[in-house]
Amino acid sequence: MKALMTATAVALIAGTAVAQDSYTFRMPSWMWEEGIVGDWNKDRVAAFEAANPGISVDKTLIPNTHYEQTLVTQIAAGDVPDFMPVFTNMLAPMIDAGILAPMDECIASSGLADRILPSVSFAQIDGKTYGVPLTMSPQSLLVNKQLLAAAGVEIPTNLDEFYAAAKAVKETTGEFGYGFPNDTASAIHVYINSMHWLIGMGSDWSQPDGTITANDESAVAAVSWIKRFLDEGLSPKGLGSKTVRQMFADGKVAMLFDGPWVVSTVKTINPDLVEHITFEVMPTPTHAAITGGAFYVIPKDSPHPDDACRMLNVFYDPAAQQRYLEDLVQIPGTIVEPSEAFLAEVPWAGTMAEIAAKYPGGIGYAPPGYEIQAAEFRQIVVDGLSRIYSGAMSVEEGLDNLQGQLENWTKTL
Amino acid sequence: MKRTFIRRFNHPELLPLWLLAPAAFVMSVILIWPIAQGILLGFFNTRILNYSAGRYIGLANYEILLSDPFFWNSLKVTVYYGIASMSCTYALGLSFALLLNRSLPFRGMIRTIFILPWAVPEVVAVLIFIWMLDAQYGVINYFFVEAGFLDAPAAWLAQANLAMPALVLITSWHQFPLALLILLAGLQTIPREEYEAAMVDGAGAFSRFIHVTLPGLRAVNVILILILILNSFRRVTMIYAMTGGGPARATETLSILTYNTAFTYQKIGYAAAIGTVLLLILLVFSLVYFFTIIQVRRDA
Repeated sequence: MKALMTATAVALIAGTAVAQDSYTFRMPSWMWEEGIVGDWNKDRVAAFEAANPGISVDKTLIPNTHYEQTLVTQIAAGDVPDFMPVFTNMLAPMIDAGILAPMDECIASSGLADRILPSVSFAQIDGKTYGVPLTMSPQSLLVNKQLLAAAGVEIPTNLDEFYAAAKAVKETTGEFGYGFPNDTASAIHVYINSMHWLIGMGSDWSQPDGTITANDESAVAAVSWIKRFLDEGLSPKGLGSKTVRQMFADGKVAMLFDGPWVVSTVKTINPDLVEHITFEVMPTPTHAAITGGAFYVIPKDSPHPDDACRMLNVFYDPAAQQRYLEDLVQIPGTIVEPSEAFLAEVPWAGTMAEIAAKYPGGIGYAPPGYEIQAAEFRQIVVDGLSRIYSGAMSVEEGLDNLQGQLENWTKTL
Repeated sequence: MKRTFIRRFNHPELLPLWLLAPAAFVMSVILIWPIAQGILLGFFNTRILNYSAGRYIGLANYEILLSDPFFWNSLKVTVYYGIASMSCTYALGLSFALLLNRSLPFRGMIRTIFILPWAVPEVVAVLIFIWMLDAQYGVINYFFVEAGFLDAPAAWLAQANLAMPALVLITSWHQFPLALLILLAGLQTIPREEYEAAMVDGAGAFSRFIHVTLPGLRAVNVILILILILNSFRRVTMIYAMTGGGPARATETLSILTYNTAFTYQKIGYAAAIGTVLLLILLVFSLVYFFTIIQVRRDA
């Protein structure tokens, strides 16, 4: 009887210990169902679970359009995940609010310090590192070579050629020459798509010292170009990024300013088109490219920070990082040497790497001088742009109006 | 002493209060407490991510609000949306109620069909309409272009001058069954003798509608109009899912402005101030509704 009681007590203690060790590690992301990107992420999670028996990962999917808002609300309500990716523009407000944990110790113990991309500087404040780059793929000119060939035009290298190519595609094939997402319901996407043009003209909506430059000469020229494509029907009206990418994958749009992740969409939807896609330097005067990217972060109140650091190691496994570059065709967060076979198979990968090296992450997503209030700034810009795109105001009138609105808004800060 | 105390609390007249107490307690916790918190928050300058670090600023949020063009725009949009959606809903509801108040073949089945839009969840209705209104592939554009009403497809939800009419149309489609049911019930309470007397006096159909039907629906009308206006002030799901308040804030009602300010711009203190103003507006409508109900009961 005594032996039986002892055995029961041992079993209960052991059971409690196991129960304490097994738990659900929470990692929200917008990428879980993004075709091959989702598969890569799930594969990493499976590797983590295999290396840490008893821990299961809750892969909460939050759509990218609502990612920041949903995550911020959850964290504010005390529902803090263990580990999470964030877009570059989310870093500044989160660091400012003090909700991220410094990751320096984790980085040092992981031996990642020498491999991380220099863009890590966007997550460094006062000597502390609050995030590790996830991807730093640039957004540039994506071209459907088949449609351009059908229209009898070459890949454009300047804006006049770009316009002529878009027009030729429309007139010859009936498809859209240029896909410019302009569904103003999604402020971040409309803002980013305007940034391709603004930085391409050497401008921005604001300067690092906080000066608003919404109606300067370059901004007027940039928005006038966008309006020209919309007004002449060379670009579809009222469509969001998702639909425009889908149209590109379906061969209904010849050119896009977007990231190499669109190629993953094409691979999933229309694999036959992949070989006809190329990634080129922006045809704008400065040729500057937006490189927003994303970071992995550990919240300060993460229930399991040590396991979050282990998860980081799994994501930055060198073999997995190589796959990130060669299977997903995106720039990973660490320095990876591309294989000869990959360079032969994806001839534009070299161009993408050169663009990424020239324009480091963080450009374009957040207005200079207003990184913490970026969401509100972007919304005011998008309100102004939608008045111009819809024809309610001319470009000059609309941008003067926007300049005034932004200046008034800055006085309320 | 103890017995007197128990007897006092066991008094039959107190029984309703005892029965109401649990519900009142739950209401206080889930409704009144958050409202009080919200009102209090309106006096603080705080962002959602560092909620606890907010500082007391008195009425400063309300001062900013009075000079905030986006607030006044939202108030204007809310009034426009409220009146337009209420008018369209009422017109649709009354038309179909008059139709269904007659003896028709398959009247029961037709009534069921008319009530179906109300049963469709708001988000589902919005998703269907977003596709129907799609600038590129939408069936509505296809129909209008084919019929010659439009030269080219219109971006219904991307143009400030089209987004609000589209939203009003969808709102009216979704909620007209509510108006239909209330008005149909109201029509059936009008004594048939009044119509017969009017006909004896030589009144035509239009005259009967003006002098018998409308006065007969007076009480129902007031209640219905108040319900529809209250709904439009409170509505978030449909507008947010459809336009998010855009384009260019053309559909940003006060509810949407409150939501965006709190969760997109993360200015939770300022959002609470806007929410408090919205609460006061709704309170006025609720009081009118409350006293109207009392008046209607008294008249009855």
